[in-house]
Amino acid sequence: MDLVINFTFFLKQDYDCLFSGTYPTLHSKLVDFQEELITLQVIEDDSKYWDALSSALAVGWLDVVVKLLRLHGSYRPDQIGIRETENGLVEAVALLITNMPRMRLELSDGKLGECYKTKPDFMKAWEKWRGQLTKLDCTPYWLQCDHQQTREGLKNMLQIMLGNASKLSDATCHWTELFISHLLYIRPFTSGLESMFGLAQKCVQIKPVTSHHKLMNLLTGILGENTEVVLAECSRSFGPWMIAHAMELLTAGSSHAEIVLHQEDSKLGGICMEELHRLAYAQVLSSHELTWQIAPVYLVTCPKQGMGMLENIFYRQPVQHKKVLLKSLEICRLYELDIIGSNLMKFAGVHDWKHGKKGSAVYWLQQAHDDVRLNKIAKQLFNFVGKSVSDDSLKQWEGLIELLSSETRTAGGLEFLNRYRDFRRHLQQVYAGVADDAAKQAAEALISLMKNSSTPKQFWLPLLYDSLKLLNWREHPLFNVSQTNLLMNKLQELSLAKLLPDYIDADLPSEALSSVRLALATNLGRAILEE
Amino acid sequence: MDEVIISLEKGTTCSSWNYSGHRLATASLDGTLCIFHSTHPSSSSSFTCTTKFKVHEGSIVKIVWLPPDYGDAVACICADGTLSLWEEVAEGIDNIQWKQCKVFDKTPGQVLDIQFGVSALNLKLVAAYSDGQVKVFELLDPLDLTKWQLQAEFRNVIDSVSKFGKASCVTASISWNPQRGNGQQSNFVLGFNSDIPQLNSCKVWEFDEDHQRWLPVAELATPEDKVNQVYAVAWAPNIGRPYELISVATSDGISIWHVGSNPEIDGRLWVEKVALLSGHCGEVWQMEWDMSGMTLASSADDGVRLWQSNLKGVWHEQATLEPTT
Repeated sequence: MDLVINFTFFLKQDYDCLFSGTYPTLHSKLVDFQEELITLQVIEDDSKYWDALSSALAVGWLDVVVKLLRLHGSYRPDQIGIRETENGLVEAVALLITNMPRMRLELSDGKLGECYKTKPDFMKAWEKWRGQLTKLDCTPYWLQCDHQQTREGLKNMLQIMLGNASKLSDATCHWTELFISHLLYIRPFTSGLESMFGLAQKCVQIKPVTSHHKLMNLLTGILGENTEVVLAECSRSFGPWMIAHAMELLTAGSSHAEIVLHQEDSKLGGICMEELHRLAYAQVLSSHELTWQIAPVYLVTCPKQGMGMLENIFYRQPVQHKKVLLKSLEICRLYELDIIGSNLMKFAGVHDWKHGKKGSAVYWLQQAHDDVRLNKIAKQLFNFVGKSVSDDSLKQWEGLIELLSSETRTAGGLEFLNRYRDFRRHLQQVYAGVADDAAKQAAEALISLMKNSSTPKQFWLPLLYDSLKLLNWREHPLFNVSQTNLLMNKLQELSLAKLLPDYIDADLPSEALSSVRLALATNLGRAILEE
Repeated sequence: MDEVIISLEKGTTCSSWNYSGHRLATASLDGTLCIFHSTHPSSSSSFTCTTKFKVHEGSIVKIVWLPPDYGDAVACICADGTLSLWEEVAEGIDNIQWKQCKVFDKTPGQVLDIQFGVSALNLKLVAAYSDGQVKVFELLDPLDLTKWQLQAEFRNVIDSVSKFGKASCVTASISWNPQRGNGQQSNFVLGFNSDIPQLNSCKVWEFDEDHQRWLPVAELATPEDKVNQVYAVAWAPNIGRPYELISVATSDGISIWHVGSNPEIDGRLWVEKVALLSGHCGEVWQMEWDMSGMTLASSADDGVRLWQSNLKGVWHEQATLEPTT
């Protein structure tokens, strides 16, 4: 019954604007009559008045009917004396309309009818009300009513309330109006959607329409409790938002719909209809820069393919724009999509590397734990610093070296670059002629570098060659016996390593090795003497 | 609601969107390449040509973007069959330029089609040649697009001992399995438009890690359409389907194939042709799937058609976009 009342309300409030003049409707009929009303002298003489009354009554617009009835001429003070019986009949009908039993908890202000909360009470009241209608219909007072239009009009209204099918059909225009009049007066006890589809079909037969409004098609689907039709209509007429959200409404209270929508189907790629439509809507959202961030909200509710789709959405984001990257990473963290997040940071890192933003590139590649690329970068740096030992262009790489070695778990060997930088600084001071201390520190840095396993072999000889001045330090030997032995051992190891296939020869003068050997031997001699 | 977002110059022969759809590369008859950018960095509303450079003396016939893990770079196939790679690099923020980073060696056969595939380890490039050869190259250093190594060379035949005369191929079409992911096997599908029926039919190739070789694991052709020349192939993204979806365009129409995700005992993948879509007049030029792998777009002389499967699993034409002139 609630449904019927809501439906009645809908007809009154919204549906006329939906049809927007396409079809003749009861509402447009009443609006037309309203315009004529002011020009009518004796309202009850006009057949349009009675037409309007019966039409409004047929669809349950009780307040409109009662207001119109009270405009009847017999109410005028100068008439009431001479048309007493007639006025009595009008008022009796108005009273019966006002007291029409309705099964609902309460009615909003201005709405007419007697409310009944339970079905048995309502049924009892309904029978009683119908009894009163029949009694009035058979009353002898009709014979005393001289005004023919009033007599016939009121009798017609009683027939409508008594559920005379042909009268209901005459009073209505569109099949939906006829449908609601049947629910109100012929099938007042209908609950749920019981046999409503059959009734709707019957009404469409009686009042056929040439063109089908999209909402009417949807309505037919709903009345038929046909989930597939409802979905097809939703998707055809109302787009993916409607269909993604209609799911919850469709499944509420319908186990059939629940089965239809939640059954996984191999024809849909192993997902259910609910998931399919959510994916479709998420894809629509993902196509615009302002809405793509909403797509994950829908995709996380898609157990089978949601994450796969989300992945593909992420891989289509222009992550070279930092704002997009940061937003994407935030969403990845939220949904624990670590691998995707890493890949996006990798994209950004590579882009930055190629576009001269080397610091930012290293940062993103570190965040992405992309050891392969970081190692390649480190190798490029090694090659660079290896070649330019004696010039000061190392400075331009210093920041990068700092950054590369800031994280302990970065690519192997990067730690070396840091030590190497320190060594270079001290050595430069030595060459600049600064005090004895710098030479000592440079010597310590060299030993530290040579002891450390992360120092690549390819650097050993250049390091020693650069340190010739230290090895030949005039004042006193800077390296003691064990330190010199260590350096000599490294040189020996290097000679063996030269035989290995992946050995990279340093770009040094041909006499470099012999000069270093000689310097080491001299230093050893001096150190032994000193000790 | 039609809106022109890019106007292409006369003589434009081909175009290609980058991974995010925010850049478009177009190429022309005179061997010039144009890179279009969206004017607003994060939207794709309108585009302007920001870079224009000469790639080749002759016409360019195909452009392919490299995956974003390898920077902003494109591969260009020219009408004479040469293949070159170009990448965008910058020293500072304003000094952006496109540099040639690789020209692949000339071979007796011309390059007809290429596609890049991202595997867990490296970037792979498959190239199909007019003499029916297929070559797979590997990038040696992920930050350096100049160093490539030939990984394999084979012909698009199931039985490697089958003998036939000198092949003459007009076009070829390659499509990698687009799924990214760790441990994902490298596989792609390839078909030729040639005078040798054995070469034409689409085969799915998979890299056999154990024996370090490429193996044909499926053939997408029924005994009746084996002889058909293949115009285009497209491997659909798989966001969770238990099987793969591949479309193949031949003179018969567009066939949709379901392909098993995992090999059967004999090492082959099961295949099933689920639809044959007709509608285009003439040769299909290109096919592309949407990101969900649910909608297929195909283009031909008569325009673009969109295809979808309905709730009953029946494939049908969903929409048509006709050329305006």
